[in-house]
Amino acid sequence: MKCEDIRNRLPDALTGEMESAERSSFDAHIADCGACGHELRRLSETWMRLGVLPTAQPSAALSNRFYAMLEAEKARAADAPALPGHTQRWKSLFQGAHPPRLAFQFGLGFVLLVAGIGGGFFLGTHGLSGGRIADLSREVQDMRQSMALTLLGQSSSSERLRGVGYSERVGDPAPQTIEALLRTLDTDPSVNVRLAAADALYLFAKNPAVKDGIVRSLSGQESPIVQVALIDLLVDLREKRAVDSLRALIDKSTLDPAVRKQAENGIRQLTL
Amino acid sequence: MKKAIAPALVLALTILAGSAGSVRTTSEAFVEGAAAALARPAFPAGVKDRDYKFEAKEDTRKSFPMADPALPAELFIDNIFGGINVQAADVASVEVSVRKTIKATTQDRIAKAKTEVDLKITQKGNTVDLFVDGPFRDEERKRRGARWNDPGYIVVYEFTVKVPRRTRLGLKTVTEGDIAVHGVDGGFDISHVNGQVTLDGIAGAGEAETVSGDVKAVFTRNPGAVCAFKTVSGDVDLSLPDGLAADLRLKSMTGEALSDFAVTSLPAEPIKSEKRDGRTVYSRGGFTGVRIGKGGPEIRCETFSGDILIRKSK
Amino acid sequence: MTDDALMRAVRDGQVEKLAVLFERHQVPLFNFFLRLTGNGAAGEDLVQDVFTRILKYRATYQGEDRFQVWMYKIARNAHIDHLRKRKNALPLDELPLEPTGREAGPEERNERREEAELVTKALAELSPKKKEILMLSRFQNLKYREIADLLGCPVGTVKGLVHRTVAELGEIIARLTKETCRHEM
Repeated sequence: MKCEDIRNRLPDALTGEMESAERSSFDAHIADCGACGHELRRLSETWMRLGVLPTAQPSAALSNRFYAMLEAEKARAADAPALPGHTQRWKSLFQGAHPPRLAFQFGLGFVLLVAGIGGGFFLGTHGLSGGRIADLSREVQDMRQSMALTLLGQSSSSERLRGVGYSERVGDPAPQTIEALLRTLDTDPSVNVRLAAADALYLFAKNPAVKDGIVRSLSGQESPIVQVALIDLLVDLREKRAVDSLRALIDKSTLDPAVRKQAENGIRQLTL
Repeated sequence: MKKAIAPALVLALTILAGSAGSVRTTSEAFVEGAAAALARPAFPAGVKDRDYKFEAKEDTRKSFPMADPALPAELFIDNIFGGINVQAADVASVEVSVRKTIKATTQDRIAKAKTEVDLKITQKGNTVDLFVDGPFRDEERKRRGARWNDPGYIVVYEFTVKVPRRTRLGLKTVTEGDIAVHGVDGGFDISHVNGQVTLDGIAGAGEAETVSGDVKAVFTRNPGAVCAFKTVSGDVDLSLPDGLAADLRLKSMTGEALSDFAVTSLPAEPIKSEKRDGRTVYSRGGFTGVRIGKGGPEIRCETFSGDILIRKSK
Repeated sequence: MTDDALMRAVRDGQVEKLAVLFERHQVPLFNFFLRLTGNGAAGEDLVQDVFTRILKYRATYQGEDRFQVWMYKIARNAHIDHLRKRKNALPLDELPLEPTGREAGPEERNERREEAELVTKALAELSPKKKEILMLSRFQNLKYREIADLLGCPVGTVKGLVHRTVAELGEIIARLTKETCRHEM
């Protein structure tokens, strides 16, 4: 190691964050280099002296304030409408606040059922965690998939958009469908359709073929909007393998400055 | 049990976002999720109030004989404005009757609507596809649903279709009408936004959803595969024959779930029960699933502010 | 239970679990603010402020950062708002000095007291930014990578700043020591 390197690593030495491999070459240099050794001793001494700072204790008033605030919040939260996963709230709803009036209205032999609220409420199961319910009847899945495939091959962009829409609603897309979506992402003449395909593919990102496909697609895209969308997607998916593609992208002289910024940001986020 | 049908999507979502308490992020995520999931243009609340002084109507009828009458038929309708009514009959063809109504603020917008909006009808084998195409389809895609640029007209298509008894259905519309299906036996994939979905005397399994309206289904035969019924500000009202064996998954934020059938808890979660006026009442407390009979395919019912009713049909 | 698990429980509705996090972190947080502001009352206000904000924004907790990193992000913001609102009060005689560790003899205690006063005075001469980064690295157990994330700057910058700050602090202490000696003579 050179003195320059040592200077950069002194803070790590102070906090003890240095890896053992580096530590040995660090120590070796220190042993030989008077200047660096002096610098380390100087800093360490100050660092150590900071240890004399007493650990003060806050007054009892702070505890009191905190607990008062917590109680107030608990009381307030009980008045607010129920939130997903907030099982406490259901108990109090049941205790008289929400009488089963409907049973009487209907005059049929109704039994009050438990309606739980675990997990998140979803309409359309379209959350970022994945596509539609995978176990929905085969028949409906097949209907959507075959429509998707047919429509993705049509000549009008609105039909292809429709096709992407159908594909999003397939719980467990066949490789054929994924390929069709990737092909659409790579080659569709309409930017809107490509963007839609990117959104759809995001839903199936658990599939490694999808991630690979998106990374590969990035280098072939010309439209800045699509490039940015794909970069965002890859960062969101924490796809570290995209870093090389992003670097290659930045090297392109024709790259739109907004995309360059996004790509640089993306590299930063992925290498954190 | 009539619930007032709330106005267009945007307004419904605004109400929901406001009522979901102080935890904005949860309701924001929900709102975004709902909007994205439905992937439809968000109409301004005042669609109904627009001054559409000019109208033009056009009726069309078309008949599509099935390529192979031994196999089920397939009907896809992808509409924006207007309701859909599908009736099963002893026929070997799909008979489509469409009433197209253009409503515009000026006379030349009528002409504009005629050139811009089009009903594309295609048949391939046993599949009939009716697709309403227009400038609103190819909108600028944003991840959170698109804006609707008011063109000064709307084109309402009302579909009345007669189908063979065994037909698979893929029906979509957004507003200005309801979706109703009678007597059909086959898989169903039904998606609505502002309106009611009614499936009457049906058999088969599938998914039916809307945002603002009830979802009702009366089965002549118990479903043999997974089903899902969803709404936001409406009830899920199912009628199923005696002898039902299924696992129900129920979610309702502020409503209740009621059942004619006796239920047992699904293994994962315990339930407490108490007697109230002679009826057995079960407590909530993180409970999401109940079993009817010896259990079977999952029937998922979700609503936000409505109730879930599981009736036993005679 | 880990900090992260506790905070998730709070986020998902069990607000009372925040009390555990409070008991764990009130002292380090208090000292962090105390050393930054030099004022015990302000320090307490800021701790209260941090937990109020944690409670208010609990739904936004995602567990991407370590809980402590998230907490110190909130703490920094609280401190910045505090600085904007009031001038930095610096009555050093308000500083409560309660030594930790083993009981020491009277001479030793006096020496420690003087030493502590010296270092505190020296710290007070540092700019708020340098003080903060020193506190975060030296006392709040945050790794440089985490501090960089918190401050939104590269790791290299953080380390460089720590280096310069420690060096500067050393010089200030040296100067103050000379002055004290001169004073006592």
